[in-house]
Amino acid sequence: MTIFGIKSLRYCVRMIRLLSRLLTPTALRYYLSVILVVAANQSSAADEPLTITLRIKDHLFVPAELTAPANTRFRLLIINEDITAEEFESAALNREKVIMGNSEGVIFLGPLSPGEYSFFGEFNPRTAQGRLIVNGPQS
Amino acid sequence: MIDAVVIVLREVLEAMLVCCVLLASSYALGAKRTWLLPVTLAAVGGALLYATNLATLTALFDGRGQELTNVLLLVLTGASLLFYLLQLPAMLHNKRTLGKKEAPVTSTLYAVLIIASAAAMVRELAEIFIYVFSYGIASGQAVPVVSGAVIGAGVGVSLGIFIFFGLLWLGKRRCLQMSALLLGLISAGMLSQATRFLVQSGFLPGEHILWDSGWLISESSLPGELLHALLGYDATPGIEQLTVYVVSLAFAMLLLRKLMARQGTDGDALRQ
Amino acid sequence: MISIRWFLTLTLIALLVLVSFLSSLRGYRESMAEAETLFDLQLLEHVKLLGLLNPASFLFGNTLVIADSVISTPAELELSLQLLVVYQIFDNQGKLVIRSENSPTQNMAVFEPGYHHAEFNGYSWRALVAQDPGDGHWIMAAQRNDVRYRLAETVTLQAVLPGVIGVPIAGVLIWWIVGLGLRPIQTLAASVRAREEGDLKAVELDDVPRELTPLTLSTNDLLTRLAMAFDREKRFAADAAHELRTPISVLKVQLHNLLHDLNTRQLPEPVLQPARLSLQELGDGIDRLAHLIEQILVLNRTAPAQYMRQFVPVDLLELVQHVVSNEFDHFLSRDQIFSLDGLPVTIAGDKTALQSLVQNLLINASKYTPVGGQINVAIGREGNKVVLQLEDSGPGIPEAQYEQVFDRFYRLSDEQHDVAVSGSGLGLAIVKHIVNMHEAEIRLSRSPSLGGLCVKVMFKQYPQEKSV
Repeated sequence: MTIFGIKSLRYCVRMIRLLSRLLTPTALRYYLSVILVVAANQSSAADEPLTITLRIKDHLFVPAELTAPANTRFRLLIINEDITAEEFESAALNREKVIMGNSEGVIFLGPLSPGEYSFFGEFNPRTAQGRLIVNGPQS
Repeated sequence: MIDAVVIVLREVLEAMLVCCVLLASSYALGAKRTWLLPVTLAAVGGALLYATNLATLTALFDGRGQELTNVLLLVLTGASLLFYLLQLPAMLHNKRTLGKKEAPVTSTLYAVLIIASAAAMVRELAEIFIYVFSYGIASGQAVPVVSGAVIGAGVGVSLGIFIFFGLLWLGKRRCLQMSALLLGLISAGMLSQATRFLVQSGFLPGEHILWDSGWLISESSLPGELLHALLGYDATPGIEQLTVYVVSLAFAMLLLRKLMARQGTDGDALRQ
Repeated sequence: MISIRWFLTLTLIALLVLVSFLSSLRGYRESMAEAETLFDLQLLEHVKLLGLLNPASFLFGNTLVIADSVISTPAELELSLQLLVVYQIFDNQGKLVIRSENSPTQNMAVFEPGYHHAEFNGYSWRALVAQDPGDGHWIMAAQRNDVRYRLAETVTLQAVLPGVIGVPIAGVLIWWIVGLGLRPIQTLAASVRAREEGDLKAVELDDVPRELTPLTLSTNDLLTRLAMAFDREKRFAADAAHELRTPISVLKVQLHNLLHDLNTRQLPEPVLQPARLSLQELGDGIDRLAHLIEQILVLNRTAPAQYMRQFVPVDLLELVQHVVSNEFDHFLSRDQIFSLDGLPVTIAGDKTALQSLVQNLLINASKYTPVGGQINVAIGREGNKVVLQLEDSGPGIPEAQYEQVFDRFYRLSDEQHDVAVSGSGLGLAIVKHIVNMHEAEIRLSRSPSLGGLCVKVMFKQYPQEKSV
């Protein structure tokens, strides 16, 4: 159990030193941006980001292929037209959300690098499959 | 059927892990085991309530209600697990000073146990209910979905039973250390998941993901799911997620270190 | 520790579930893969048959559309529609020549030989694309993925379901069988538990399973040794006490003689006075010794059934008053306030033993209550019990030691209990013994009014008073 002995204490100290870097000006600027984004979300709908719509119909994604601009934050509106629930899931996008039957849900995505991101319906993983293609210049 | 097995197994495994490790740890402390039954019943009720009102919940806060509820439940679990770890050394001390007969487990600790396991169970059970009722039975696939769910739940609960007895088999001292380690990992995973939901719902700016280890261990594979339940493994974490994970894990390890130091001095309190 | 039954049942069921469900899953996966192959083969057969058609002979400018349900009878219609293979035949330029009614007008999949995933008509499909090696025309056939999957699953589930249903039944059986297996332990425990106090006979060895034989044997061995030790102790105490009686009687007689002798001699008063005082104290000491020996004999009196037969009706109030009047000097010498209240109540008992009980309790209370303290005695009824209650303003006894104080020769020793207070440590043991002989109960608690010890003895009512 020496793993958790002195070594771990040193490890913790190093970790705390590492964490203290979270208080550098760059980091502080990042926190400010976090606050601003949160504030922006509360503010008017005028500066609402781009919304891309995805429908679920007969346990399939329509369209099965979405396109989105690179390095932009956008909303993905998922409308489930089935009476059954579905869970939108993507390991590549790191998102998961249950959409109940005949209802809709919103997911915030991006900024994403150009490329292809696959997603699928957790409840119908074999059939409900789709891709998000992100076009644009590499940032 | 196989989808049902995978989905239900993942949810049951996550909930069982929290409950069984807490059960073993609190048992090693000298707590009663009876708290789990009412918690389970209450969690089933809560999960049903959550699952039936999910559509309404989702629509709240500009369609971000679901994420916020998940964040609430995850933070509740993660934070109470950390609080439990925080309480452990003091409990050990009490156990020594008050002697064997005095129950060292205070009502605060019971409350923490109950909150942590109930919040974890509500979240996971609600997902199972949604899958089984709103998807499986609504789409007329009752037999395969229900039998798959039974298999998944059976495997998950069985693994939980083995985890519980395995931890007890270690002996009280080791059991407390091992379960504290596991609880620390689990809570860090839960808090990082909560962060991901905050990013998903737009409350935190999504930074570029740090890496993609999906090619190595896919999140939807069995080892990936086990790692996810145990360590909060994420193949594509964001910077916020990683930060929260590292901070809470460091905190948990500090608490573990304190526990072991306490066990060093109060060693004979547990050598019975 | 967790019960063996729970441990065995839970782990066995968990093991059974893991093994049976995981093997079911494996079987499921393989059957599904087999079914997939079978459906793929069906597609292949279809493509082969379609390969017999030469698209060149169908080139009329328009695409030929072939109805899907040409051969089906209405009863089989639904199944055949679901199992339907839709197909397209293109010429080598990629122009659609023939298509089945349900296929789209565009090519279903890419022009590349092999199996493909396709989506059209609102479904997802498994498509097989083949190219004629002769003139290079293309044949595409497709089946709905969901239908393939559901059919395969329906068949496979028939094999998996019995296992799923069987496990709960097996679980109940495991619970029952484990209980059955552990029953000898319960029987053994019950047979040890059920014996009367003082019954130290060996446990019956019939029908004890092999695993429990060592435990039973060592229990019996322990019981035998215990019985012998008890017997020895009892005999020793009784014999010793009995043997001491005679020399003490002799001592008493000699003391009496000595006193008499002293009185008859004509000695001057200053010489006589201290000698008389010493003799007086010697007499008191001998009396205490005699009392102690009588108490040891009371403690070792056996056969309670025989003892109870000589019970007589005793008025408890009168008895307490009598004892108090004998011991009143005690309270006076320590300046203690004493109060007694209650009504005359009758109980069945042995008068001498009850006197000894009350005396012990009173002296105890007086001994441990500080000078100037208070002692309250009350006699009353609680339900159908007669209650004798003694409260004092002394330090009391810590709750953890309530059981131990009844042990023979146990003496409290802490800062509040002066070790110098004389006593044999037998008082409460004798009280407990007498209480047991009278089938009464004794309870210790903290006195709510005086703060010291509160002793409560609850006797059975006298049989004839029940009707009152």
